[in-house]
Amino acid sequence: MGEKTIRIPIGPQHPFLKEPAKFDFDISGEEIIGARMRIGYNHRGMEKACEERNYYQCLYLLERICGICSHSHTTCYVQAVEDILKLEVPKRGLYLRTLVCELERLHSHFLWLGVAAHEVGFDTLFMYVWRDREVVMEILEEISGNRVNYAINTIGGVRRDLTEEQRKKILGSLDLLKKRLDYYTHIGTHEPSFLARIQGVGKMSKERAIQMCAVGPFARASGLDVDVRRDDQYAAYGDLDFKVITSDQCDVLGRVIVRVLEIAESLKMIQQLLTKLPEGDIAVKKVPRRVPAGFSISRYEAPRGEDVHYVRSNGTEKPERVKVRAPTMANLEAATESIVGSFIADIPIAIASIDPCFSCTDRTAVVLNDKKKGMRITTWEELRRYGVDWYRKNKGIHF
Amino acid sequence: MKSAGSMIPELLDNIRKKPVTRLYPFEKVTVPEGFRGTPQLNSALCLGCQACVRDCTSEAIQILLKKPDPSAPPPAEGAKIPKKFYMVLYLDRCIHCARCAEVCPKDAITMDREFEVANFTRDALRLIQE
Ligand code: SF4
Ligand code: SF4
Repeated sequence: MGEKTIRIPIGPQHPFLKEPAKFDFDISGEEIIGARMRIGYNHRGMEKACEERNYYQCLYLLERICGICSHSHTTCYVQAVEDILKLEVPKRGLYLRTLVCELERLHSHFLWLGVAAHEVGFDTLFMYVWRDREVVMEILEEISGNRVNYAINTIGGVRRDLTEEQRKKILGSLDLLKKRLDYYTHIGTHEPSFLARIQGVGKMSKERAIQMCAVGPFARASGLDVDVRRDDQYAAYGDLDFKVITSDQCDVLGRVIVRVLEIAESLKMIQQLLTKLPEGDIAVKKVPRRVPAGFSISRYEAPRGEDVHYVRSNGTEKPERVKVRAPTMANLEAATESIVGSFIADIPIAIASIDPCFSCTDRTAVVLNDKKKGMRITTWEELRRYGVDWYRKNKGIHF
Repeated sequence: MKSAGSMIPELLDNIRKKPVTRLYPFEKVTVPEGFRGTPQLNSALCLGCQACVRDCTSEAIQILLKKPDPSAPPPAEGAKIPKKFYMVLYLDRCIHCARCAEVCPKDAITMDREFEVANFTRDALRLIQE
């Protein structure tokens, strides 16, 4: 080739990024031949803050990890706490929790479809999708009291019951959403100008997706059949009949297909939840404030993929450790790699295709191999050698 | 798979529709019944148990003992003076989670439906509710 490689940095502040992150792209002509990513600009110290707060305060703090998946994080967290406390959440509580989960998925996927359309310059679709997303937002506001942070979860169930009127109203809106969705599915998969921008862009093979531990719609669009809702059932998903959508497209088009078909599945699930809604309590009446020592890991299928919370308790009112692995964390590396081979013009849509949420995912970053600070990367073998030598020298243990 | 022009019927359809953008603040918007606005204290019910203070997510509440009113007639011999409490609410910290209303054993706190609470100074957001 002999062509010169140029490096273009994008971020941490850049008009196309909604949140700070840094990407370095090596380009040859218009083609991207190498990509690297760095996070660490938006660390909020929430995990640490949880150690200073009681379990209820943590609940509302963790809700604010993400503006879109707020219910995902609280559900994941309360599931872990309920597991340590061995609480049996009433059926109705679980159904209502699942209802908000699916409504959240609807609004998140609609939002993503709009953002994806906007990133490729298809603003008409963006406006239409966001207009129709308002229907879901209004339902959420009505049943929870807020559009974004629903605060409907509590340890041992949910805080608000659904009235008969609200139930009917949601069932009534489903038809409109279904109709609109059919139309968007058609546009997303048939409109030539849209297809031209998304087909073959951001390629990620199934093998690579497995190796890089991709999750959620991003992994499913590479043909990976994973979904926590089915694989490790929680809340009311065991009672529901739904399909896990996958696609073998392995590109941005595949991610559009997976998400629009998932919206259809969510609509189906909401219908089932509302028709089967059992009577009874919505939450456990008496929840102890002190949580006995123990730990739990909870998994949850957020709209962006698998969310993991680890909670360790020590018998007090405050958790000893809360650890959050947001789905974007799992997908970022893979997304960065998927851009290689595309053009510069495809960067926005390729990154947006994982539906990234940098503040949810951010943590402190340590720069390795920094000679000035004396930091370096240690390989596994070096670390093993170090361990063996250290024990020999300090403890006299020879192997 | 491709079919050009699928947007056209939708575009034509929308020509006849009114814009969905609301002209807020010139046009009032309403919030639903259960909207979580500002916490309001009914001091007649408050016991001063501090449960709301303990659980408030953002340390936005103080429940303080009211000084007895000097102009009030002295209580009858042997009668207990009921303690009165008031709340200082730092609305700039409040995240409107309604945990205080949920945890109060006397239901002394309720959430109103006010959402236009922004102000120019932090002092104005320090509310004293008696
Ligand atoms: S609504 Fe939440 S943040 Fe506001 S005062 Fe009550 S508990 Fe505190
Ligand atoms: S929880 Fe209720 S009764 Fe107790 S101090 Fe707060 S407002 Fe008063």
